[in-house]
Amino acid sequence: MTATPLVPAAVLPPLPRRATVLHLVGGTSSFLRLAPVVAALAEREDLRQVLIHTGRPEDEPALDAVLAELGVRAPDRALGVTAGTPGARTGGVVVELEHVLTETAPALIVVAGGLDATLGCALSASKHGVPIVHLDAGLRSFDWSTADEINRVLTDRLSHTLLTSSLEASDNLAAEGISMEHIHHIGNTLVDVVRRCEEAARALRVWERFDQAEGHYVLVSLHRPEHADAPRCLDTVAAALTALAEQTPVVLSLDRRSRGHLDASGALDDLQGAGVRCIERLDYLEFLSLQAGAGAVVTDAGAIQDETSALGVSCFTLRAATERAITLSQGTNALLGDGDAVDLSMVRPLPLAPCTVPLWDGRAAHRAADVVAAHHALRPAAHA
Amino acid sequence: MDGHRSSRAHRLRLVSPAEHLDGRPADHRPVVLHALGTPRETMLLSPVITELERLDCVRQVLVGAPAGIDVGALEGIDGLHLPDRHLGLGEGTATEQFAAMLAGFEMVLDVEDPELVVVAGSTDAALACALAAAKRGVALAHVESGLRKTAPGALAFNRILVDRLADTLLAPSAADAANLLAEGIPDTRVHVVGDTAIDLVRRLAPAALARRTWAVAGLPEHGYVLVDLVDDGHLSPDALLQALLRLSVHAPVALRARPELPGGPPSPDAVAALGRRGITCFSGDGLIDRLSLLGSAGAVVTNVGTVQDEAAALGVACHTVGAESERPATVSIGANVVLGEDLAAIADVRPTGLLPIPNVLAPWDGRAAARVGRTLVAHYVLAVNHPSAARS
Repeated sequence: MTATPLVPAAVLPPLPRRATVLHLVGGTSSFLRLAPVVAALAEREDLRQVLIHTGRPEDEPALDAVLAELGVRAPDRALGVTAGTPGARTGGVVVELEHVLTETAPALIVVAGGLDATLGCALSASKHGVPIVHLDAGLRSFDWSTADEINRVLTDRLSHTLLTSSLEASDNLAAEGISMEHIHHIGNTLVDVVRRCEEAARALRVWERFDQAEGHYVLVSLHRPEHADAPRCLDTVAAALTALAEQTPVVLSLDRRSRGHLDASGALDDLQGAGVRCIERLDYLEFLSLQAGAGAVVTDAGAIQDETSALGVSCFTLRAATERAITLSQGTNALLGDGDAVDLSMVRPLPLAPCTVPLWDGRAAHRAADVVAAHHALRPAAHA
Repeated sequence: MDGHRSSRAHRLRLVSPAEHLDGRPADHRPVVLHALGTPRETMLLSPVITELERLDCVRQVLVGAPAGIDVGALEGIDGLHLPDRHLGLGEGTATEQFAAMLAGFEMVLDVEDPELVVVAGSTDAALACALAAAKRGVALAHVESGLRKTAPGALAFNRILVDRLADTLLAPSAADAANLLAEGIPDTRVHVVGDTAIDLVRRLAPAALARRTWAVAGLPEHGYVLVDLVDDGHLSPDALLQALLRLSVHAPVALRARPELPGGPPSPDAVAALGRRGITCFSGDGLIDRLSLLGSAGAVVTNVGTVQDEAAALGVACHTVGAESERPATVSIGANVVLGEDLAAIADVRPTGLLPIPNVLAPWDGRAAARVGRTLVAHYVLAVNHPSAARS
């Protein structure tokens, strides 16, 4: 029972002059949600901001043009955790992030989204006693069989500051017993990106590259593994798209793996025979341009549901439930269900509908920065 | 709100009569998988395992981390189940072990394909197993659910997350169940069952009294103060030593020299020096020895939640160091006094010298595991007294 000897003051490393904020990037969508917050924090606070990619940035589509527009640099470091079971991914991030937390001693970390990696970051930070800011918190699909619902619920539970994109999301958090002092309705930071890039994107007129007329084609892009990685499901969707192509022009954006599946089953030939324009994945700005010029979008991705609502383009979501309820009630989104029978008969190009979602005004990141600065003393760490 | 149940209903399997394969009856009973990460979890779950074994309608698989199955700490449990599978835990930091448990438990789930996973308490092992089960869509029951402190630490977060993930929440008391309801968890999932660890305490109490661990050191029965503290980051070893020395002037002190003691366990020299001042150190961590010391103490000073529960159940006067007790029920029934954060208050504790009167309020009636067994069978087993049960 002896007291720990005091370390002589001279041995301690010099204090860094600025506090450190870690931003955890899990993928393209979470990076785009975080980027405006990085820019807004840099504007108002003298901080050392470190961007960490939990996977491998080279696997992601290039974002250079958007990042240059926002004034944000590419991630400084990558944890390189990508493959494996959900447990292996979460566990891998917990372990890898621990080294970064020890090394950089951040005042807080900022996470976005509901990936296995996001939960890993939240677990690692909470074990280290580092406060967590969760962007786009409170989203609930109430479908516990999906991994991202579990990840979102647990990450929200671990977070100190919950920044929500809608009042519905704030209500979801309050219903889980999270006290209101931690919940802040700031709007959607991805919409900030859309508002910043909208003009440049429209000017690109990417639809002309694919011989489409503005407002008269349906854009289709599937991202969730239950669609993009399941050959049987892809074939069902392809058959429905072939039928849809008789009514209206269709542009289908495919990643390499999905294209391989469709090619192997012969569905790709059917699609092209029916006049469906099958294109490679585009970079963010080009794809935004294609969304902006579309008459309707069919998707399963959360980010696209947000972006179409912001752009005023009709969105049809191939899922039985969405965690983005606000895009249904006040955006342009509609659910098509998620069964063996894919019914696209109600999909058709529709006129633009202006975005009426509260606080989806392109100023969300500044409100986020205000909340972070007001609730966290962004002091340099005692020992970095 | 209740996406849990709808998405899992299809997983319930009807228990059918045994088929014979290679002359051996195939075991078609639903598999229940218990995660035993620490001795505490083994203590909480062993009465449940025994009860489910008695009901004989499920096949039980025990998964343990090596640290959890410290048999020395659990001697004297009749038919203590050793784990069927070990999670290969190596060396490493707490987070590395957490990651290893998460991945290891996923593999066990693949092999065993259980109907239900049962975890207990608030350890990293419980969270890792709960997370793996939730991601695989396997139903999850949480024993000792709903306990909350106003100032949550790392372990408290584990418990909150496991509660969030669980389909069936088994709360020790009505107050714990109320905590869960306040977090928006539907009341159909919450069951007040009592404290299963106290079932074990009740069962082992006669053996513990007969052991007379305290007599070896010449301590007077019901006339000494047991001190059982763990370092929670707020306790100063020096202040604790001063307080104990002042206390030992008035009453003999039994100090549990556990590794988590503030300042670490005393060295052999320190043990001898403390002994001369009337402070006897006990280093064994066997459950029976621990209960023997507790049951015959005149008073106990602690900051450990489980010790507060055990003292309340056994009727030993309990004094809690810290701003609050994590077991408010023990305080409200008068079995526990909160001393505050100033360690000097320890010097004023005195042994009662009286025979303790056991407390048999609902959580501590020794029948918690029976209620857990009934709840789990009602939710996850479609047929009890299955023909294959008759073969033994």
